[in-house]
Amino acid sequence: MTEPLLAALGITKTFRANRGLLSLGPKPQANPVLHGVDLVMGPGEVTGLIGESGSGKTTFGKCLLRIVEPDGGTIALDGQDWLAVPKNELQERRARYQMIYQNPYACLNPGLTIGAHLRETLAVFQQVKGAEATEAVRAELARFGMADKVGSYPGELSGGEKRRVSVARTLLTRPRLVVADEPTSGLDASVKADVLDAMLSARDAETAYLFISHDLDVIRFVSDRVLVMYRGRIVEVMEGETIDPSVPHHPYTRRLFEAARADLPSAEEQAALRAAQERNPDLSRGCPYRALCDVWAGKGSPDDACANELPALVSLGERQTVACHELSQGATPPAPDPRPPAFAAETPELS
Amino acid sequence: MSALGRFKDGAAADVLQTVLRWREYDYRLIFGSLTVLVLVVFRVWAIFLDVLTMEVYTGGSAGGRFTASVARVAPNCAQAPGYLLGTDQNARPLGLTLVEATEAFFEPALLSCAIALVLGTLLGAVAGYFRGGLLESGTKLLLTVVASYPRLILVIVAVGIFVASVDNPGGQLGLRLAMIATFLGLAYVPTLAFAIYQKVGAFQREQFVEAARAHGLSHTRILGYHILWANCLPVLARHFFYLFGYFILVETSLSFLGSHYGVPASTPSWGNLVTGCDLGSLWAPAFVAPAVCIVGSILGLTLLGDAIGERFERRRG
Amino acid sequence: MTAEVADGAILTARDVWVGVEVGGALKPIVQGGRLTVPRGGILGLVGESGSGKTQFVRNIMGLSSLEPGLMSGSAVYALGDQPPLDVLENIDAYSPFRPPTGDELIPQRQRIGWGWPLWRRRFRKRLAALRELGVGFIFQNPTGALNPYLRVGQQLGEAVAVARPNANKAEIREGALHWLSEVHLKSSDATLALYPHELSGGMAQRVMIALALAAEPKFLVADEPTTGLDSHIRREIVGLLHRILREGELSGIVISHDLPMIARLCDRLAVMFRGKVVEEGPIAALGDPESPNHPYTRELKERAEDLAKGRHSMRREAGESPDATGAVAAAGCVYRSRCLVHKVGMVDRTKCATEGPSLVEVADNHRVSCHVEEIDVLRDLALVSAEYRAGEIGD
Repeated sequence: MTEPLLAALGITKTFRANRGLLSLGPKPQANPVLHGVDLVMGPGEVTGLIGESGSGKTTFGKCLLRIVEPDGGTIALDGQDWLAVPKNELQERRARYQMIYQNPYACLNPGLTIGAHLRETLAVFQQVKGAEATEAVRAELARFGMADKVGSYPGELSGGEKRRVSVARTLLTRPRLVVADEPTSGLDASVKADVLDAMLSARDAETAYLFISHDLDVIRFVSDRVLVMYRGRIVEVMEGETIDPSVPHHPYTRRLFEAARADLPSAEEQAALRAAQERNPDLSRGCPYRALCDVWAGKGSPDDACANELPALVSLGERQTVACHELSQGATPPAPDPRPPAFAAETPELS
Repeated sequence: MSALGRFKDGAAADVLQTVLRWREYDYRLIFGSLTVLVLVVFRVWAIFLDVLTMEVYTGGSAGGRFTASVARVAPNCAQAPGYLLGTDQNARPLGLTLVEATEAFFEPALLSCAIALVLGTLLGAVAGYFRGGLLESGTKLLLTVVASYPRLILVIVAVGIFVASVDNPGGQLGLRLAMIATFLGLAYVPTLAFAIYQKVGAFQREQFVEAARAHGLSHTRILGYHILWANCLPVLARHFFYLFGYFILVETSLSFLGSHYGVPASTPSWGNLVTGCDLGSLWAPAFVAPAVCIVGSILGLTLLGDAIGERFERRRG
Repeated sequence: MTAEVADGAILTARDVWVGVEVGGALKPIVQGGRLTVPRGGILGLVGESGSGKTQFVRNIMGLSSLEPGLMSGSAVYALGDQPPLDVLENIDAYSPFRPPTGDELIPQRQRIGWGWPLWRRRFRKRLAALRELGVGFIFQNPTGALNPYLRVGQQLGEAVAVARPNANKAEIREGALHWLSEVHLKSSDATLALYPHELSGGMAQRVMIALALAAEPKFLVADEPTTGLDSHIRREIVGLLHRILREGELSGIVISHDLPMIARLCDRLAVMFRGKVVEEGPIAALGDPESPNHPYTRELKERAEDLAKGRHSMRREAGESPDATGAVAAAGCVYRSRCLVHKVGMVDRTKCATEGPSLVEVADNHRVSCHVEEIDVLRDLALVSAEYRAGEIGD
């Protein structure tokens, strides 16, 4: 068994809002974002972390790389205690564990051409300078289909192109782990596939990816394993053939799979969504997903386990763990409808 | 509209449209570049004049050397007809005096710009990048204290102290100019430092700095290369030209005030010429020419600073 | 110059040119745009970022934010009880550039005379007439489009007051709460008291839809309503829009790059590529595999299907980068470097290189701009594409 590349256990993080010395008014609340998240990854694996905006997934990614310091837990990268590395050594080690930011414009310096960005990476991390560096930069950009853009500024590029430049810059450091935050969001549907393709085909076999996204339907095809996060807690982990809508899942995961269905929500679904807005359960105890859970809507009694006890991650077979009281008791949740086709009629499939 | 409609197809409308298209040309850049060109040409010419007399003149006064070089170049100036601008109060051709006057401010201005740019960038960048601590508050406090003195008064006071404490205030021109330059540079540091502080602070908050840190780059590299070199050069260029123009203003004002503050009366300087001329007529070339030079050069440099700053900003798209 | 009005159409836009002057030259954004919105129906405008779709629609609605460069064409609103109103009438008389005529490729400068500073004022007068008829706009970036200094309740109240000028405070508040519940938000005073920066992306988008609807428009335009939202919220918003558009019997335009959403929501389809409208037809043209679509529409469809099925590594050509953006004024068909029909040689390549295609009618009320001689080539494009992907044909 190869040593895992990354073993993060029990990561917690709370954002404290600081008040100035002289300000009046109520003290701002502390905001707990992560409640004990675990993640283990092997070298070269592709893992997906799915969650909606505000679930804490970006914060988790940043905690893994110590861009934001976690409040609790342990992180071991390549067998070493990552949290114990002193600050002055941290910067040197960052080359092997990189992050691709969500906002493509935000990664790049608007005052430098993209050729300058890549040359700098080569000079700092690979000690390649001069004509050799220029040639290497041109070759790298050609791999991403952008060889003619070496002298352009980030402001002149489209969103997809900027994202590919940040991917190129990251991969030039030959990292062992790349955390990609929302790699396909904000791009046109036709460009999403290109960016993912670029990311996966341009890497070494040793580079592991952690894709953080809200779009399960795009990430599930490229991941070996998928974790689903809701409000700072992992509610499901799936591997291999369990990453499929036909298998029983946590209600939130089911909802995410259904989100990609191409048909419109029926009138009952819409009414249920409307009613869900009016519910106000006390979220300080019990399962936090009760507010939107369709299984809970059917039951709703205050003595139930869902209302009183936080569900723990229980394995449902070899390749799936779920944190749900219903599923861990062996109850069968409603089977999802088969996916309707994207357009009105199906295009012919050729063998 | 019917009356105007008659002109719709006329040549007048064409002309108006063409004229309004001229706003595409940046007049400030044209004028400013011309100004700089003229100043540089003047300076080179002045150096040439000095070089001419290097081997014959042995005295220490700059004014004397200039008179000797004029004597070499234009021996019969007082009698020769047709000098465009006439002569100055020391019976030297006014044109050459105007040219030679660049010696009084050109190099000292460069010195003061160098001091202000180096110190200002250092203080401003450090305060803007490492925020929230003693470094930021302390630097800002220091800069605010220095900025609270009016710059010209600070320079005058400094020169006055120098004059009071030295035996021969009339001589040592070089040292006096260097002092003016240094003090003006120091007095300008807060302006530049605050401008850099704003810029660096704004950039430091952008996400690409966090991304660069995550990428593994050091603070020095991010501050020096990513923020200052890639993004703050327009600010520095702008303030360089502003300060150069400001130095001209200071030097000519001090020379205008008299020998003790600026250059001695015999040394050519635009300020001197304004004082020394005989105000028999306000249109006398001896008054108008130096005044035009002062105003023109300061205006040109300031406009050039604006234009260059904007042009570099726009380039980033 | 009378503008064309199509039968039964609430909005007919023909020959719309939009461009902006950059450094003395004109940068074209929309070249010869053409749209027909049927009364009671929804038009879906599809295109990638940079194809000019947002500027196209904003211009024909009078919300152009551009400096005067090039603006010409006709956009006739026939909203029933009033005579048809052409919003862009005579606008080209005040535009410093005019569209190319004859053999010209790029827009040329023209004389516009003394009155040119008044062009905006004239434009606005026409828009005032248009606004009386009730047009609602849902903007693309929800948190950016809401006024950050006013609470949600205040902004919604203003919109309600537009539709009911005589309502008193209580009625306005009730109207605001009604619209909140219509868009699946908690209809309570607490929601009305929120500021835009306190709303999440999905909530802000819903507030924007409520704002657009509260003024009770007859014509609704939604610009990229689901871009940037999480996937499950996206589906909910699409369902919401569908219900609202059906129930309210509104006509409208939905702009998007998300093809499946357009397929569900709209009755007519228009596809734009780099400033030109390349296809205009009924929505059935999207679902029917035998319909004669433009090759670009076919390409978009295939990419959407590939994404849904997880086929990511496609055979990518060394041609143009797939996200090259912006309109170009050049000879020939601008799509030819990516065009499948061009690659397999089923069309006269010299024609593609020299002549820009115009919209030809290929089926009932369905127009495609392509140089193919035989319509059947386009009909069989699905099979051709599958063979090309498998590597059996093509160079």
